[in-house]
Amino acid sequence: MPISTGYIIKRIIMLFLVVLGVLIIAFIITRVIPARPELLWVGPRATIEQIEKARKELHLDKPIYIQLYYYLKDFFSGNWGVSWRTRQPVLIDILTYLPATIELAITAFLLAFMLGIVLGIIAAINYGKVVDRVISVISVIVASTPVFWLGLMLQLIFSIWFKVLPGGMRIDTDVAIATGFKPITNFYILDALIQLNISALINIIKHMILPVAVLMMYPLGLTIRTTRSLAIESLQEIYVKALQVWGLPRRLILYKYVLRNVIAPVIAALGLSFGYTITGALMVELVFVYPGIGYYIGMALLSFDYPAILGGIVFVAMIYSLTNLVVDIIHAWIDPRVKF
Amino acid sequence: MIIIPRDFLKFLTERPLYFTGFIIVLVFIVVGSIAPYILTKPEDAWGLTYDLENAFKSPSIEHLFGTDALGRDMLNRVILGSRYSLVIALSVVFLSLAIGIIVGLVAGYIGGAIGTILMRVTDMFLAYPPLLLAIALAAVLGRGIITTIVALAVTWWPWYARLMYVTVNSIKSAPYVEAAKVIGLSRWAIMARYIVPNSLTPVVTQAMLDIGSAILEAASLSFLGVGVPPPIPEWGRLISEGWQYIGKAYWISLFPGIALLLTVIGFNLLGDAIKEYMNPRLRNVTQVMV
Amino acid sequence: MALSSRVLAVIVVVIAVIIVGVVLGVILRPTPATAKRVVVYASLSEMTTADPSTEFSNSILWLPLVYETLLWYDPINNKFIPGLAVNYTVSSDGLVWTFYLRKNAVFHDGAPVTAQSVKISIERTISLGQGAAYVLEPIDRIEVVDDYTIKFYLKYPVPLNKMLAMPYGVYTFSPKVVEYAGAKNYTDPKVAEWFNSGRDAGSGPYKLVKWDPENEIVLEKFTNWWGWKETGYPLANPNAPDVFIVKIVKDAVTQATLLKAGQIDIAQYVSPEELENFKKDSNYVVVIKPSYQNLVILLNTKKSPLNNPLIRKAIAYAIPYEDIVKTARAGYARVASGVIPYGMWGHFEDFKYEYNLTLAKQLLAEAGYPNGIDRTLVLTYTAGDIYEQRTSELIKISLAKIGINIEIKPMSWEEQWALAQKGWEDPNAAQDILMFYWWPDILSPITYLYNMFHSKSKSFNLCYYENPDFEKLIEEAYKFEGIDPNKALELYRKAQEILYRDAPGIGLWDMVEYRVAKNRVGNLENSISPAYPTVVFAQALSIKG
Repeated sequence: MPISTGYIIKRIIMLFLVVLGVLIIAFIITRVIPARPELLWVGPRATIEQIEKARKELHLDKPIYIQLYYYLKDFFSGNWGVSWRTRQPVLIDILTYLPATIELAITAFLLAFMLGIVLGIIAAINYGKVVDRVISVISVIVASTPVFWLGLMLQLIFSIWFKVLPGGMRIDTDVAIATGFKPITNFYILDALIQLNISALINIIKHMILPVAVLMMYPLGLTIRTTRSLAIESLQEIYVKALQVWGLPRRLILYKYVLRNVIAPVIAALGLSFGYTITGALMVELVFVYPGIGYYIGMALLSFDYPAILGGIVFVAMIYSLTNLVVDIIHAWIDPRVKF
Repeated sequence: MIIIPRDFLKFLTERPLYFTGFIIVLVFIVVGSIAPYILTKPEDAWGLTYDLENAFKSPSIEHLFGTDALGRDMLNRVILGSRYSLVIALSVVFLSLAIGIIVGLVAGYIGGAIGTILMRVTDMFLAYPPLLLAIALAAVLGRGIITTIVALAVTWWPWYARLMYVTVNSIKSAPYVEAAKVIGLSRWAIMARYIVPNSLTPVVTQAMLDIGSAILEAASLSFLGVGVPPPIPEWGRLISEGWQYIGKAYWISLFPGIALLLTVIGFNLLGDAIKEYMNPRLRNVTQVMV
Repeated sequence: MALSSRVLAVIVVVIAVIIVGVVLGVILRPTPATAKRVVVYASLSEMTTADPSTEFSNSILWLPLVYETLLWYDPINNKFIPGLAVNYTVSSDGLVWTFYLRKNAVFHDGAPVTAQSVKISIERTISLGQGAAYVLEPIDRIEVVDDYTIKFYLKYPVPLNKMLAMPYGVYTFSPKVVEYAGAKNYTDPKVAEWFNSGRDAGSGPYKLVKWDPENEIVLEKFTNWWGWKETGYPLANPNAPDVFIVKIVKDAVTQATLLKAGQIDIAQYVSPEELENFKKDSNYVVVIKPSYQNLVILLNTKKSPLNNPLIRKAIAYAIPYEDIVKTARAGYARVASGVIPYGMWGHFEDFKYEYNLTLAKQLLAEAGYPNGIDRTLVLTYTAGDIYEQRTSELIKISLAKIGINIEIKPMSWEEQWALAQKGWEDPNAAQDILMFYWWPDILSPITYLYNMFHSKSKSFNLCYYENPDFEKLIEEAYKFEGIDPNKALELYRKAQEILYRDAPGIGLWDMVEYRVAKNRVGNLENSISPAYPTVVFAQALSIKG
């Protein structure tokens, strides 16, 4: 394996620096907000003494670099402020809502990855023919679709007009009550399996169908297009042509050689698309009232709940950086051509 | 203004799919530019009036795209919306290009400590998932056309800066640049005559391809309530307005969405066409499998 | 013949099956006597705290079922319903109020409710100084005359009866909480913790059995409540539910769905479109009542050009009130007449402004702005509220027609309020128009008039209005409210006339509340009151089957 521990350490240090930078940018944003933060903290019915007390507590009377210090200290000790909307600590909120989004994201990515590679290769093999054209068109449409709009339209068709799929939430309340479903880890699929609650599991999956379908659109389109062009390139390689001439079975060529060339860059591309998927999750969860991080940040946005907006965004940025790191490492591991 | 090589046009006409994309983009640019002059009901489009008697009318001959909650004609609003998408997307790309090119050029050519610092700053911005930082900024800066452009540009420039940096770096070590140094040309001259012209191409090409994404991102911001304020009929905003009434008057969200979809498809197709055209390995593929 | 005998056999079998089926059905049908009547009420918001003294928010939805106040107020008929107090008198100067308590009220732990417990409960609220404590400020001291008589001495005359009927802070709880909580005294934080862990020390018709404030609250009937035995008591019904569950369902669409699916019995809120469907369906009952919540805009009277009353009046005449009601709430609102909502004592119908653009333009010209106003005015509303959003859009379009440009800025309530607070130091830094809801803490016009327009009310007088004549009028009116209501009414009217002329703030619409329930929930009409927003008095419901 061409990765050295030195490289990993270097990347982790960079990650830390990047997170620091993320926090500093967020801090700058909080100081751009026009209103006096201490007033925001105490709320409408406060007395003058309470306002003064809040000013001291929030260190607003000290110079800006000391404020930055306290801000960073708070973040690293887990105090991310309290959401104005839910009146709960932001970090707790985020951790509560996180599993729902992870469930959606992982499902969407897996499906996009598998389906995308298959379709991409089919398109590549049939370059120029009808199958290729059709798949290409589909992939472009799919990757260009505005996520929020597609979510609304699917909700309209399947939930409001035809009533075959639920319009929102993770599970039907009556099913949850009837089957005694209890969220333990907050990963509903896991919870249903642990409790051997099959009807709840089915209901949960039904609720995931539309959000996942919408969420996987962009990664699917991207995967198809990337796979397709990489596969075409790869199939042009002389050694592959040689293999064909030598009479190796098509299947074998595809799986053993082409695929290997394709997977690594596709994973890299998917990793890059993760960023878009996060924002996609935001809108999907809003439209389907699916209580994940995206819904939390989205609701915070709609009500201008600054502590929650910033906490949520910093958190997502951190996850994003971490994911990039992991993807880079996997990519390097799989693809022997990448050097350090 | 935009020079389209003959070759490229031929390339397009041979491929109906890409050609469709090209036409869509053309239509979008034309309509977007002349939108205010082709409106049949300008007061509706600009949101100057309301007519509750006419509210929520479904699509008909009179109102091809129906009317919204305040009785305004949706076709007019969608047409006017294209102008905002065009203006905002072009401004975002232009602004972020400008910033990105300068930063990338300085970091790449001057190098050293300044270069490293600049690139680290760029990395910090890149650490945020694409739209998220724009959303936070837009939320803080408030709604408005300018603030939307600024919020998006601030989050976009790092991509161009990085691209520029990499390109400049690779050109820096090219033989003809070495030769120029040997001859004794000043740093500025080298930069102006060799580095800049050659490094601009990939970056500007990328920017052209990104216009579609810019449109989509601006629409997303407006959908979330942080982009352009009402009554500006930007497509994302129109979809958001229709959200409340989705069961009752689906057309309010449907048509702006279709417009958005088609436009972005057009840009993506055109982008794909350009990529394929520029990539010699893909351009002349005839046979893939034996 | 074979055929006919076979046919006969079939007929016999069929009849037998039917008879067996009917008999089994009769035997196995659950008898009403053993089955519990369970009613589920869906709440849009999560529950906040369970502390009867300091709670000032969402939990008032269930506190009146578990705790009791001295009096309950029926605002529609302007009457008081006895609670823990059966009678009361007030001295002629309005400073001494005597309440006579009923003798058969008991707490859930069995101990009798005495004057001492009332005194302690009210004193705790005042000492802790949170929630609605500020309303009780005029109380000087409380004296226990005997076990069932209690006297309140006031610093100055106020309508104490209305105060003691508030849904906030004046509930009576058992003095034994100190013991239960292992605390030193009533203000010890351990008591608050005890309450918030889900325990109750009330005397009301229901006991708090399960406390999961984010998901559901379960209340069970307290069989020893005096009200069940009192015939003719409006707030008690023999067919009231045995178990009352408050389920948190934060989304209106989901509430409608659950109601249709039969999973909940009462929905707190459904969209106006859904409401139409429910109205037509005989399986559901819809109750529509006025609410004391109203939407107002406060104009920055210290910032040009709104410092000119002519311009403020011009704005008042340029707002399309009818259209707003139609669009914003699909008709479920009433055009406001002044800032006191319809149905409240103190409301008068002659404070409406007609929608007259010509008159508005005239006023503008008179003020020196014949071509409209140069500067764009900033209007803020609470982001996320679609009624405020729709209202402000229509205002913007209409004001544009007389040459006034408005920029609409949705903000979080916190930010909006903080921005307005800046206006006390520098009026030019604050917004021009603030749009928000008001609802009463104490059921008197004073809450609207004082909080929004008295110069001492820094928190909510966000039009920065200073009018000594007005202030004298409302202060006088409040003094007489408990002693000579007619005089008070006259004074309130005069005060509102000043507001109508000056227009520092404009009432837009009065909310109309509606609840939808399955038709097995009877007497919903009398279990809802605008004085107690979001509350369904389960004890007054009559459940069929």
